[in-house]
Amino acid sequence: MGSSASRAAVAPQGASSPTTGGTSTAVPPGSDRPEWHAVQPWLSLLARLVIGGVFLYAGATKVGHVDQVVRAVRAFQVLPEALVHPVGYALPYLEVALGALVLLGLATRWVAVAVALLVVVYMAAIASASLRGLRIDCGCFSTGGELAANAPTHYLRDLARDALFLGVACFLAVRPRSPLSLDGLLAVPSVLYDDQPDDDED
Amino acid sequence: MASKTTPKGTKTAQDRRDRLEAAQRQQAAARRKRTLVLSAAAAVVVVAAVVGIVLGVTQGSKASKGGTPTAATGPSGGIVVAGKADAPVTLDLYEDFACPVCKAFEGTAGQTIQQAIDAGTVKEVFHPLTFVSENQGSDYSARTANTFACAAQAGEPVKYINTLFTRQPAEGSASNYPPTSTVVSEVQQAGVSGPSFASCAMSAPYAGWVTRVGEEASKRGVTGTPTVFLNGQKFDIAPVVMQGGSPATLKAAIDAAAGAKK
Repeated sequence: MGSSASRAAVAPQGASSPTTGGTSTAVPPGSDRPEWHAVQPWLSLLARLVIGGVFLYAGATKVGHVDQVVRAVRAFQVLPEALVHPVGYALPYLEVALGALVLLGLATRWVAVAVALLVVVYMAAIASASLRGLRIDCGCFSTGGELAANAPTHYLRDLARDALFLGVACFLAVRPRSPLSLDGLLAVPSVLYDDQPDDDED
Repeated sequence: MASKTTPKGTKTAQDRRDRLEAAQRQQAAARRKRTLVLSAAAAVVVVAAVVGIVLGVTQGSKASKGGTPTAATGPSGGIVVAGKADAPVTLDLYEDFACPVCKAFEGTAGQTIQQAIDAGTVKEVFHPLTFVSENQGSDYSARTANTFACAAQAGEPVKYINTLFTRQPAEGSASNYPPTSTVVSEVQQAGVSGPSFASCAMSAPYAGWVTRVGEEASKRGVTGTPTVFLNGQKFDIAPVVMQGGSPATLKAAIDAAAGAKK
């Protein structure tokens, strides 16, 4: 009886990695695994490069095209007209700043949280545009807003891509420690990261 | 941490207090460092947003200047390209000279519109928009929108529109779009002349107006081209521009709008 209960408790973890089930390597990632401690910082660095690169690029393509960004913001028909201009003006620079901070690795955890929140806002805007039947270009990477008649809207593709970014940003928020970061260089205390090695339990 | 008992029972109370204070000092220093780093990051984000807003407002005020062509109906209005001033139906047409669907619309519906203009039913107001080439990294749409205003000032807006859609470059990349000088010579060959047309086209005096037309269109809910309004009512262009589409619905809508006016 007792042994079957403990089996049941283990089963869900095994089920989470079915492709490797059965072999001795199919241990769920955790702090008890030295390999994970060796790999995680590099995964976090990769996450920083992805998020930082994407945000720098997305922001840079919009800087200098403020009129179109304003129109893209307005096309979602979410914000009142009084807010459309300030938001449209600020967004490209906000994206560049967040991207640069992620690449530099300063206050990584909290910047990653800010990135994740921004992506959630974008996803909500795209989903609501889709549900309201608007026909617009999300303006995610181009200047957007307007769409040639007959052109497809790509809402699902945009949402899937944003969901991927959200996942990467969340990973970075949970595991912000990575090499080649200002946080590391400044030896920002681990209070910033609550995941002190010893109590780093999932 | 403090609650844990020390292995040695011989420690004095003073010893324990000292160690506690040291740990607290260390923690306070760590907290200060964290606050500093967080503040620095937050400051970068806030400064970036403020810089964006200031630059945007500056540029916005620049666009609010810029000359309006006398042919336009207002500082952010379109240009009446054809039709009697007292025609019962005003057809507002929002198009981009780089937009292939606009070319298709002109091909399918052009004759219907022209007949309604000739019959005195329709007055066509043209609003040039600029996003199609911009999305491909070219300012062709904006340049040709400005040149459209020059052609209208020279009294030949319809010839200009027809020429531009006939010679429309293929979508795809910025290098597909020709320089303004090429556009000017082709339009001149089509019969758009006037002493100042070429110099007007090259100096882009109406860039501010083009920006304002785009802004006005956005406020009106125009999110694509072509967009058609008949007496202020949005007309669904899908049946006209779809594969094998016909101008029948447009003709019916024009007649209905004209009938409602009587």
